[in-house]
Amino acid sequence: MKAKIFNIIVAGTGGQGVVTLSNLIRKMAKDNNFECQGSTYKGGAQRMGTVYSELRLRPKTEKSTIFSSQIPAGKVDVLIGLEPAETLRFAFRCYEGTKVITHSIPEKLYIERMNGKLMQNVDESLKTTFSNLILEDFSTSLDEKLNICVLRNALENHYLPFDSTQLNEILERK
Amino acid sequence: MSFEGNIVMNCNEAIAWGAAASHVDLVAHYPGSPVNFVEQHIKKINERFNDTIKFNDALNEHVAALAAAGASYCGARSMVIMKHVGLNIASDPFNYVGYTGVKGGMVIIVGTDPGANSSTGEEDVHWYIPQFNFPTFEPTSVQECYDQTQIAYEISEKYEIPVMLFVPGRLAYNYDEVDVKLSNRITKKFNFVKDRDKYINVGQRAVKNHRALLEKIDRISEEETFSSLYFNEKAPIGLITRGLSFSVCSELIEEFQLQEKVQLLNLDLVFPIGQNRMRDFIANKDEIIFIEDQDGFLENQVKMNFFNELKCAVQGKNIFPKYGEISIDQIMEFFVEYFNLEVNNPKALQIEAVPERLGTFCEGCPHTGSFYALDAVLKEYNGVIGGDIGCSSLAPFRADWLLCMNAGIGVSQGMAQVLSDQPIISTGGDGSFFHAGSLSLLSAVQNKIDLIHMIFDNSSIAMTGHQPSPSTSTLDFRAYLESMGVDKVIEVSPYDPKDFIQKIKDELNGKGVRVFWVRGECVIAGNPRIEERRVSLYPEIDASKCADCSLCYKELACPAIINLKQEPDQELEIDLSRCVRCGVCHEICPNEAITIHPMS
Repeated sequence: MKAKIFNIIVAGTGGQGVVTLSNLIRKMAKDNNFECQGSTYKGGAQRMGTVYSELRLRPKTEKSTIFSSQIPAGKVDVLIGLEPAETLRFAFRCYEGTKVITHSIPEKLYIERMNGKLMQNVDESLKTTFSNLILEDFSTSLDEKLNICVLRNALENHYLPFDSTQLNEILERK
Repeated sequence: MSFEGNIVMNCNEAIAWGAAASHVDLVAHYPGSPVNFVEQHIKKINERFNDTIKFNDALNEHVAALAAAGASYCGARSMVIMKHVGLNIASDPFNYVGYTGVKGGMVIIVGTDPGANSSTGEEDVHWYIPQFNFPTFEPTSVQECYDQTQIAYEISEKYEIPVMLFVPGRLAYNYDEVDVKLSNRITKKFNFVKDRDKYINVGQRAVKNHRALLEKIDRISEEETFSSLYFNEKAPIGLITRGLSFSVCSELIEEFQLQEKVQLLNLDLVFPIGQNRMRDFIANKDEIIFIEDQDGFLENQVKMNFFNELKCAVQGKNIFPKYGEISIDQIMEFFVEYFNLEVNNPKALQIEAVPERLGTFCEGCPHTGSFYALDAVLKEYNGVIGGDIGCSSLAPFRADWLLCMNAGIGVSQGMAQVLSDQPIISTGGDGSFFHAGSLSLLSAVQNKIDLIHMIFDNSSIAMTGHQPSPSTSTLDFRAYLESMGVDKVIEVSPYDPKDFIQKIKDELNGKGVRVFWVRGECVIAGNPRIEERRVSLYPEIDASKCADCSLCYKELACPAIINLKQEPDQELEIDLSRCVRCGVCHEICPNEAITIHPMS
């Protein structure tokens, strides 16, 4: 029986650093002897569009078998959000035990000005949807970028199977 | 240049490393997501190892395909890269390069897009394969992208035939560790050996070469396998996969412990199908099930080629949809139902759908001002705005259609010939113009169509990574347009909306082919002047003067202008972290509420 696959979704909008954050997790996975699969989706938008990545980690074993880059519905272990509405967007892939950490300041939907649609009460929806939720304004840190700050907090809260000290090591290596 | 290592990379990079490891001599491409970074990575590897790869940043896929064929005719290894819709453009030469055959290996990389994540459609280009008669690989992993690129060169040279590699979007941006190895390049000299029987295809000579191509495909089908068998060979149920559905099935078979109940055949070479292995596989099965995306190419090929031998039940597209990306959830649902499994998967959370974030123009994008000007004039006449492909199509509801490259001036000239009173202006970027639009413009000139066309010249193919367009170089664009016989070339700045609007009004009832040359470079192309402007200027909205007209917020729709209140209430502000101080909002504000000061 293979070890369980640990499933992560990183969600945000264009320019927030979803790709960088995901690549840092990939580097930590490699350092910790995990196999890692997963794609990044940027969509067609250059700016303010949804960007997300799926990451699937499994401890390396001697006889490795292939596994998919797709996360089944309801099987996300950790959802990391850089934008609250984008975090909410991926709730349908989560289950009640999913650990969620998200930046709380919304990036306004561009579309709202064209047709009046608007996401309202995102904070409230997040709180009622997720049982394990860390919802904070992570942009207050002057020392580091939002994506790094959210990842650091996810690690410090033991959301990921890595030691939080490894982040500094990887950032310095970069 | 020798190098060996294990690197985390995506499939764009893996194909690039595979090309370098194969000592490719010429890379020709037209950029298109999801394979738009392959060529850029080859360039990086070429520079890093001081290699001698030559590049052709072709103006369209047709040119790229022919250039790659030319290099291969001379014995050089060539690669040509395009997205699925690009294959439509390249399909003319590809229909006949199989007739001539190639000398140096020729590998064609095609990015496919089931789910239409980065395209206007999810066209299934598998149907081109039996038309071109090119052997085609479909990798299942990042490592296989690297490996199969090299195998493709070997097959191409062994059988003197171009070989294709299809890479769907999900795989193209998938990351994994890849073992790479580069050896030293042995410098070769290339020459073209004349062989008119081979290269001049007409009449009976074409028929003869067509027959030879079909025989070659039969030989490959007989001699090559490139597929793998997994699980229980005695199982009565056979699953057949290609590409990404293999990893999903493999994972689920292990998870549900179905290893004894099924045998799985994954085809790396999806055309031609290795007939011996397929024959053996279908011979001892009660039922075979094709698990593949899109239209069901494999199912169709097997039904067509083995119809006399198929004694078992066949399922496939009667279960899985032909549209969208085949998902792990769909395949899981099939396994659960088919094998009557009891699973205790956690229940997925239910939420109200979050509104989709559609595309925008970037802050300060020249297209923002251009479409504002177009709307400002055409709205009152219910005028038509012809849309093309590229960055100018990013913001929704600006143009009236989004179809394919060259659809701006292409569709518009037909409309212009039949519309009674409705004014029409076609649009398109410089990338699209040089891709095929210039010929459409010439066609409009030749047919004396009364037409206004706008070329948004942002000096690059911005959408796919700022690849150069001819307007980036020293091309005298005005002289080029005038030499085509265009009646009038009107140069405008998208940052001067009043002048732009006036010039459109002046031309609206004019005659002949008139081209607006809209000059404004891409704001995210890295021009240092834009950063200088950002740090030296300070824009603001004076709330006491703002009359809530929404012109800047809704009509111009610059993403840097934000509403601090919940709709329908409005209090507008400029988001200084986004604003690039282009000044268009200041220009259009009727109340002089938007000012731009030097930074104190």
